[in-house]
Amino acid sequence: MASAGSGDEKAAAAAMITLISSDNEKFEVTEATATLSQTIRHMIEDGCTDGGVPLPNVTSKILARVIEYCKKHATAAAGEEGSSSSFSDAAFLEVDRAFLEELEEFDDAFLEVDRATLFDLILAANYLDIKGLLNLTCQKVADSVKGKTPEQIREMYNIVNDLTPEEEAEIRRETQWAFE
Amino acid sequence: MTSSERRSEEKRRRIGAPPAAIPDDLLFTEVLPRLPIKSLVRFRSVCRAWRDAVDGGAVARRRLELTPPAMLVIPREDWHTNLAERSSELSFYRLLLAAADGWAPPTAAAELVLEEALPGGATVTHEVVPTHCDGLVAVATRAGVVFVCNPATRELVALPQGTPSARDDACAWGALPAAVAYDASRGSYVVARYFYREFQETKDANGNFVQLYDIGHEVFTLGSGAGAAAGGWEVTSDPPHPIAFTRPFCTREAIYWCAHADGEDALVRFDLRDRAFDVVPPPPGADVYSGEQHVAELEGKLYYADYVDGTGVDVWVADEVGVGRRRPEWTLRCRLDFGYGALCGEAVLPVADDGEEILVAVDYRKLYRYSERTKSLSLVVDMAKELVYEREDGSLMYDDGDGKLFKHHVVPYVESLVSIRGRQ
Repeated sequence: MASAGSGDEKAAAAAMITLISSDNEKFEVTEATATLSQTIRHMIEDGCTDGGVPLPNVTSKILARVIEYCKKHATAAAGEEGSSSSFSDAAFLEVDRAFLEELEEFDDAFLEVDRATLFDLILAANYLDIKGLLNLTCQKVADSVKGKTPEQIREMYNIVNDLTPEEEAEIRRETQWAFE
Repeated sequence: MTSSERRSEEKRRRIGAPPAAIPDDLLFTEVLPRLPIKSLVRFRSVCRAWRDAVDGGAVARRRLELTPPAMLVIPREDWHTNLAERSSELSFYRLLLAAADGWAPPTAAAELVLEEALPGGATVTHEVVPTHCDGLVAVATRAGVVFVCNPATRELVALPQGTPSARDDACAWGALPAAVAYDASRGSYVVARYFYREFQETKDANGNFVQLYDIGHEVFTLGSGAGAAAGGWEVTSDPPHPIAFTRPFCTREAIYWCAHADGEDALVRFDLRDRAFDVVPPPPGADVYSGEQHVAELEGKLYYADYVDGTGVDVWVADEVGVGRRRPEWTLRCRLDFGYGALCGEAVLPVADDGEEILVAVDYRKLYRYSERTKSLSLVVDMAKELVYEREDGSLMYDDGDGKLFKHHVVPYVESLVSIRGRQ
């Protein structure tokens, strides 16, 4: 176990974990950051993280982004003791709010990536079981397609329409309101 | 960029590198459930795989896990103004509450979700009892007909007439309630109702009231393939005690009817898996058999509001976890002090609870918020005075204080894709 200087720092500088990307790049992260991933959390619990955690499904480019996300949100999780009420009266949430806004800005900026990267982030978030990141990235994809027509979806995702004209007409007839 | 430019750019990208894709299983379990209902319904026409994913139920179930609870309001004209009158449509509004912010008073608004004419020219009495499960709202009416609606997908179905009830006709109370619940063991949604084959209240030789009754109970399974009308009501075993007009609790495992057992209040529990009855004790001191509406279920928990001295209510909560015939264990959640004259004794329904605050709908008219932190109760909105319902044609509907009076039924709700007929 690596232990750092003074007593105060000792608590903060917790155990470090080494993550190894598919292209063999090594990333040192704190346990608090790494355990946003349920997959890694389980590995730590099972005591199989000595010598690093190989992540053969994640490239260094994507892993760097994932770690960036986890670092930010690990800090958020630490500071988010008082849960906020969904239909709440305000003043007491003032501090939370400033922090949540900052986090939201971070998330927005984080999502400014091309589609291929976004999809890779989804795959990584799913593989590493990072709920927040999976939610964020999948919601981004959902938001980008929600206003589209079925034709646009097929084109965006290279999908062949295998419905018969009759079937397609029936769907339209049954749920015309959804096409307006 | 024009759409044709966009298309050609897409094509270039595709030629340059194979299009990045999300595997179908991830797409269907993680992306589609995050789409608005309208998009999902429209995307059924993308291709067979998408249509089957949307229709298959898995997307609907995952979506329910991801969707936060909300509240619906069903405004109905107060039947006291005209008992016989009926309307030919049902409308559902989403109740929007502005977060109380600094000095600004909390305000509420109603946003139209669905205004729908009843199928086949049917009419509905003004008096209704709505119940809810996973986005499906069962609306029981005074005439005994039960409508089931998913306001988000615009499905509205009139269930076939159930067994007529001898007591319903004789009683001046409201509608005979119907329960809607998800039977996990069979993977289907069911509507349940009770009916009296015979009901008489007489006095015995000592002058005590005696009830002579013969009560029955039936369930209707939704989504039975060829459409709701294809199925029918199936009579179950008879409830062991007479059931009151109070709405039932509908949980994941059972339906609890408020009943009267040998001079004591009791809950009659209909187990969804076993399809059998069982009697469980009501919360301490409870009066479940009266005509008031004061039971609710929120996120799988049972809520019961017990009147105290006419000025307040105790809110009791019971967990129902695990399987089998676990008895609900009641704990006192909070006492709400409304003050003298604030309660009419018609209804006190908890409609939302996030652990810190409880929202309670009172007498189909007012919505109160209780804060666990400050132990204080405050009025969120007087629906009768403040809510204005905009109809589809743009006209406005509101409680004008003396002519038209409304009952504002607040229903805990979650927007869902769950189908009533089951598109197969």
